Amino acid sequence: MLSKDEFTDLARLARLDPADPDLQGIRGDFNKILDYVNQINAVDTAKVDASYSREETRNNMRADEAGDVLGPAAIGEIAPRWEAGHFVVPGAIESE
Amino acid sequence: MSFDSITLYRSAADHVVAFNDTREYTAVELAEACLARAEACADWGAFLALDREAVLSQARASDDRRAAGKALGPLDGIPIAIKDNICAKGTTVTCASRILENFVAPYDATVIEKLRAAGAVLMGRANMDEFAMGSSTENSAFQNARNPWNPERVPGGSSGGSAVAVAAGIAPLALGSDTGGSIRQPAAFCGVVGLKPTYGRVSRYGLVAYASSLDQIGPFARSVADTALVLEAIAGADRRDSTSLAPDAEDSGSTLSGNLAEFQKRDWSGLQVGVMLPDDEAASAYDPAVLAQTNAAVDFLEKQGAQIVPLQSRLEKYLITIYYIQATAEASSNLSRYDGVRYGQQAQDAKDLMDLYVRSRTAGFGDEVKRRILLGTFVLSSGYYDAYYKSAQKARRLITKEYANFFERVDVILAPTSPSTAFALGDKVNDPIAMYQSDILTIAANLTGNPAVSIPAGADADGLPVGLQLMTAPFREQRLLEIAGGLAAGAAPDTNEQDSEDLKKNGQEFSIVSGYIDREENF
Repeated sequence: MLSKDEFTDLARLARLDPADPDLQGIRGDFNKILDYVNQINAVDTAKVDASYSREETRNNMRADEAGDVLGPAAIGEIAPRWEAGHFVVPGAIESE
Repeated sequence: MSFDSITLYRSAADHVVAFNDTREYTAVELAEACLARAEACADWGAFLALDREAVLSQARASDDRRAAGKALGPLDGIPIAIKDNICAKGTTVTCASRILENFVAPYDATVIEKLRAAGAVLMGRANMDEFAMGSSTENSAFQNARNPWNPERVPGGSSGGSAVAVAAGIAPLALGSDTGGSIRQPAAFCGVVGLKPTYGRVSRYGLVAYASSLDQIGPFARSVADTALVLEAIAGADRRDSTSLAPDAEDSGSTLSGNLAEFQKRDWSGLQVGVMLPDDEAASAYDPAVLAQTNAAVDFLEKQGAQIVPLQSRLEKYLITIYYIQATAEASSNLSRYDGVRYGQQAQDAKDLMDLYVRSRTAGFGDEVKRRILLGTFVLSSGYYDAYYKSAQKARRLITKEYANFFERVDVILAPTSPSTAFALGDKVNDPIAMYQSDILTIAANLTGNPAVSIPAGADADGLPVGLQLMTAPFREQRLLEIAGGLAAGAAPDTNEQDSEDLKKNGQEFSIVSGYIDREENF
């Protein structure tokens, strides 16, 4: 069961706004979902190795060579803000 | 065959393969008929975008190739709808999300390159649940899709638009993606064939990632033969997707369409068919028509000489739990790329970089996506990782082993695709756990990586299609589709010309519906 403060911390960790009205609605059924996924504790996994890979029987290797990449022009086309070959963002450190 | 738009979509419904052989009409005629059908069926919400001129110019190119005597591809001139999470250069790829509303793909997915090389006509961007998260297509940020058999019902999801396009006769073929059943469940709800290939059979390069250890691209079609044809066109190892694998030579995709005729005359004797049906307690959650159709298929197979082996998964009741831990953990990581910086929607007037991330994501994602990102962030967070994520990983290993053991005893496993037929719009959208539970029968194929196909199998008393699921061991698609094709061909009275009223009368018999919906009042 997550408290209101813990849910707020979780939202921040997920880079979502805790004050978002949608999230208030989600919080209502989030604890029900957690109860549901808690069933995982009923599976006896004590003797099972944690590592998992679909391809555990095969290694899919290739030469370490660069392939085709999107050039700066193509990237600039889809960027929300792009100037002189760079993405434009607000300051990473708060200005106040 | 006389040509008019109605017979055209009907004939395309029966066999794309036949169209390829006979060429009784041009690619432009076929494209025009499909576009007219799309317009007539617009209120079913199959597409998020459909560029008429782009469709016609691809069709003209196909006709030009034919006129010039050039070699034609196996899908030359055939329209195929593409789920809106698969990149095709120069088209919008929204994933039915506000955060990618105006995103235009700068490159082709490998499957798109392969379809272009096969001569296919890419037709529209098919509606879906936002970022493929959902089982009804009600999580599309832009519009609901509706089930052509009854527009008050959902088409299933997340590849709902792809299923609607094929079922409604808009496009003979479609591509979807399947992370927990997102091809097979809508195929079942809409009465068409839907295949999730083996994990690794088809490159995911250019598929917008949801849960990378589970996602797979696959075809929708109205026949098993058409399904095999598309699989052959899109399968293969790809150096740009290191999880794509070259299958063993004897199961190579290249032999798939060579044996299509064999689908019709299968020798069933000696075939070991595992059957998974719910016990008496669990059966109460199933639609009686779904169980009746499954039992009818089992009876049919037994009469044909197949050996029936009842199977029960010890871990079935944990499948959804395992899936939602694993899938949401991967989703929270995959969707961290939507931060408003490099592509997609960017919040205005952010005061700093963190504010830009938070505001762009909060405005851009819908409820279900936020819910899954939060759950995924939780199960990966310090203090909870071992209890949830690591336990789910271990349980997944147990399931994979359990199914590998099953396939030492049987050739194929038969089960319903979904416990119910299509449910009503709005029925489950406010109850996430009830919605998740509708995936109970499809998730195992994703967790194990096994290929599985849903084929139409009659209808319930309301005329809504029932789907049957067949699964084999990894990279056994050849066998899987032979069995599915044989079952479809052998068991079915020819119901191709029947409408839903006729199906209603046949509700309790084992039959295969063709999947296209008549709607002549639109013509």
